[in-house]
Amino acid sequence: MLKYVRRRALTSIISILGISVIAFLLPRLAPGDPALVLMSDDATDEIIQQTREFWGLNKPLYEQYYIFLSRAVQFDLGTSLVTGRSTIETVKDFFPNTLKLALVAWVWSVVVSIPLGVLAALHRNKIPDMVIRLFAMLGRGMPNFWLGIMLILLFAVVWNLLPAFGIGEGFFDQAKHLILPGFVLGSAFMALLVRMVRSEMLEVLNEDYVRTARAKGLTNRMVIYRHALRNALIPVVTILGLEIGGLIGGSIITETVFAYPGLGRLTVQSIQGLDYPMVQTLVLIFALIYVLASFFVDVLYGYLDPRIRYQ
Amino acid sequence: MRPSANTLPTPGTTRSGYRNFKRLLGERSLLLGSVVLIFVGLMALAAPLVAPHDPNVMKPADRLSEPVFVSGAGSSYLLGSDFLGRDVLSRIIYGARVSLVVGIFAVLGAGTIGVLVGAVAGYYGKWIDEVLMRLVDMGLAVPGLLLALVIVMLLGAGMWNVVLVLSSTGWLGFARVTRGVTLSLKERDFILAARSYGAADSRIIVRHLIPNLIAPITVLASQQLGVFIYAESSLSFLGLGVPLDTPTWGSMIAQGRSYLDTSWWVSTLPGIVLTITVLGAFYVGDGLRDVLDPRLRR
Repeated sequence: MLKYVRRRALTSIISILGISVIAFLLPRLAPGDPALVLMSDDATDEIIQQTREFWGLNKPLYEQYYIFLSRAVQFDLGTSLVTGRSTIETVKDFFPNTLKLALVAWVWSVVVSIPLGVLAALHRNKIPDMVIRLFAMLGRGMPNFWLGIMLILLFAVVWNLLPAFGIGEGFFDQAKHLILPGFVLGSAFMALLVRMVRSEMLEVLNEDYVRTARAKGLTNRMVIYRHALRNALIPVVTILGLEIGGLIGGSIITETVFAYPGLGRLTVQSIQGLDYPMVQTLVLIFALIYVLASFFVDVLYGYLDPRIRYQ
Repeated sequence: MRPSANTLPTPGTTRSGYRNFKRLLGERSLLLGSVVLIFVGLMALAAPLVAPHDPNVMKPADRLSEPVFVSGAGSSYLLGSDFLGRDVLSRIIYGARVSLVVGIFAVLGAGTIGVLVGAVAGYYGKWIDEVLMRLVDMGLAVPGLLLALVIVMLLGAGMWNVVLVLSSTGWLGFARVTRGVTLSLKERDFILAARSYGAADSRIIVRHLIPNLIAPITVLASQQLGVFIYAESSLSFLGLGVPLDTPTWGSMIAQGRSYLDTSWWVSTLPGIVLTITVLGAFYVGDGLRDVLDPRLRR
């Protein structure tokens, strides 16, 4: 197990390093002098000179990368061109909002999809299965931004039940502001999970150990929850982790639709504003979250299913 | 193409072309999805003939006219007009062009790169495989949309840039699948036979490996068509895709957002068409998978 963890840790570090190269190259690939790209338009010559020295832009590329990497490790990746504040500080301000949103999305989609997937598998090709599959198909095909706008139209404009934009103040108001974006962000994930739980359940229900469990006279409930579902959920665990990346990617769209102040909207604004230092930081942060999540999930998966460790 | 043992859809099964065709027709989701895609394709091809108005002509006097089915009156705007007085129906019809062109070319681009990288990685194995797959893992370690946005930031917006962006992020999935299938094909007898009579690696890859990859890649390609159409509309929605003067479903939805309280149709209608098209591509993919790979049928 230790060997497996070590190997996975090594590949995670390589992935992060690879991403850091992309983030590093970004302002250097942009048209124009990187020192100007990394500064706002009204910067004086003196400030531009400082930037050049700060990032070592007169040195060879590999030295520049070393400087970039050592700054990244010290959480100092320059200042945002738009806000003029440290990019890391800005991420710190916005991250909790995205985390809250992703948690709401993650929880609702998991809580809803597992029972729906089991129900669909148990009633295969009957009406509940067909309804659930249609529901899952819609969740998969409906673009997030459009679903968000439709929910705003219904719940905010027509029925005036929920707020459409922003984040709110105080616990209850904030919670109300999380309902629509959380639902939208989780919808695609819910669709994927339902399909997955259903197909894994169908597979597991044919296994010998389920037949044995039935043969020894266990109740239907015991067979389904104790023997079938537990095994069906093993592959689902991988998806749970991988989807953290999906949720982050989804937050880019969802937060923009709902004008929700999180990392996703910050990303879109930084890209629109050509705020290279901010985008560099965001690329690194997103990759870090994603790589760490898939590392922990893989380790957990190796623990749950010993066959994986020895591959 | 000359029929040969290694161009069969699923390696190891023998089935006549006619029976295969009949099975394709018998697959409901495949039929449904194909009808949708063919319809959207015809709409895109015949846009100048079927669109009732010029999609870009603005008539400020007619701005935000209600669709005929809402007002009941004999308006000339079947699906209403937008905030600049442009016909929503005509813009939806022309929008199909962008969606399909971007979707199809992105699939071709991503598919070509992905299949080549995956086949080389799977076939040669060892360090080549290790290096290429680490590269793929790295690419997959950033959310696809973020990667796409970052490339748009460098390249600028534009329809062909979107194709380039989606190809350069979308090949990763193709490479993964191709490598997996190649690894299992490599050990099969017909490849061993080709190698034993001295065929060059390039010949084995092009003549024996890739034909057998057609089935799984077709399945993936049709699903990715939906994904790319979805991605293009997302980029255009964010204003980072196809420039605003070209009608696209994504930008129509974005522009209608400010008029939700009075004119719901501007955002709603293109979204319905977009959803149906994306689902059509997914249905074709699922249907093809069920026909070509019965082991996956659930």
